Amino acid sequence: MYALEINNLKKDYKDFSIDIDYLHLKKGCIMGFIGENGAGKSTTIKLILNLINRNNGDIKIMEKDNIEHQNEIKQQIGIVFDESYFHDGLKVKDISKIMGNIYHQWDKGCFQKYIKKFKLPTDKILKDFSRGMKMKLSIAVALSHNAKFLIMDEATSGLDPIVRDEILDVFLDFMQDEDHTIFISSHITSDLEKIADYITFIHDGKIKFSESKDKLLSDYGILKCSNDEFDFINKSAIIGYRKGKFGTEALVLKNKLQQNHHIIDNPSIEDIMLFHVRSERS
Amino acid sequence: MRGLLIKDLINLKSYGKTVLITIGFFIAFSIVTKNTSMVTTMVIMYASMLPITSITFDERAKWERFALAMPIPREHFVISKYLLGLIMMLSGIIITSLVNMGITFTLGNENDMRTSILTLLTMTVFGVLYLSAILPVIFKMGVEKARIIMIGILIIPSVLIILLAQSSLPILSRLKSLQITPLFILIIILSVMIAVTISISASIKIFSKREF
Repeated sequence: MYALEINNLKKDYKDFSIDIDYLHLKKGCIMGFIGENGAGKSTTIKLILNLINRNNGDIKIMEKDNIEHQNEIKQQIGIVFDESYFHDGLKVKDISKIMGNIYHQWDKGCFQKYIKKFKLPTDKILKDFSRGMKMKLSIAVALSHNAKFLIMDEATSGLDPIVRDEILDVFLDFMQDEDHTIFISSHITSDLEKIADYITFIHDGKIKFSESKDKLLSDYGILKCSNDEFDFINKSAIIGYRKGKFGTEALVLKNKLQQNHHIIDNPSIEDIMLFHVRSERS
Repeated sequence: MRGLLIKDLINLKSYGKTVLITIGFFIAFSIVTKNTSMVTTMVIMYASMLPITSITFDERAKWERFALAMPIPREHFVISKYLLGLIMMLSGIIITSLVNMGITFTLGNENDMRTSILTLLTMTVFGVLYLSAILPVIFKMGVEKARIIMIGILIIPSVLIILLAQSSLPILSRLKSLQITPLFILIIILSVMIAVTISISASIKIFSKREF
């Protein structure tokens, strides 16, 4: 069963368009959605949440159309955006009161548990919260109404490594239930490397790849060789390369390399992303 | 819907102190002048402005995007602002009626009962019509961009009324002898309800096309 299915999705702007033929996320998995700024991550998430109108295609969340059944679906989705969208004058208890009247399954006890866990002050208005505190509050809200599917847009960006690590642990906790799914966009690829099962890379509005993280990391390698040696490498193995004075670095598909006496390092997700976008292509 | 209204009321509470001080000032003014027209006008005008204030708060917090990502239908979002307007106007009517009665029965009011009721009725009708005219515009372009139109909608009828008052058109003398009959009130209420219904459906149509 899929938590998210996107087929032939199209959204046109004057100078940019989203064009996703196929993107599926299995229930029980975490998918990291990566791409540079302006690649279309937030636009895709807005399309999933029906905040903007699509030109074509269909999106299903938990096997239901995201527009036709949106209110029913949204009861089961936890949302975290890149910043907190709560009013500055509110306090934690006000938020609980408001959310209790929006989500049918609002769990006040669970919310308070997260407020305690995240050490959020209950007597202060949100204006006095730090950015990290506001993000933790948004995450507490997303996790306190028995959501089955978390959709997050740059939820960890702008936070320090300690807060990010703490939040990633909470996400892993959430995934203890095999019914739960996470779709998280980020340009901090190291975070996704820690938690994601699948990585989907969007570039210029199109999906470049959507693969299991383990497969990506085992299939790809960073080849380092001299410029002369590089000319003899099987070109179909090369995804992208960077030539320097002292040699060439290339992202390669390991199984397509004919000789295996080259130095091949393990790539990071960031390497894979950068070589797909910024390097020269063979 | 209830969640949205609770959110608006909590947010406006922070604004409440300013509102109370202002209302207090106008009540004091009415007591000194023994004339309640000013307090009626200002309180009802204030009340009709509060839904706009709440939209300003929403826009500042980018709440709309978050709200619509939650299980809140767009039409509920729109209707909640009209309901907030209704709640605020009703509160305004109750406050001004109490002030009117209080001053009339204790100090004596320069205005007779008929003038007081007419002022209240006129201001309420204007308040509701103003909101009905402006909310679709705000839902279309946001409070910031709608500001000029908001002022326009306020100034143009005011100027027309002043010009009418200074003119010697026969309609004026007829207005002065106008009887507040139940039929007259019914016609006014029906017309206002039609205006509000048209406004709500226009706002829903506009808001459901907006992208966040």
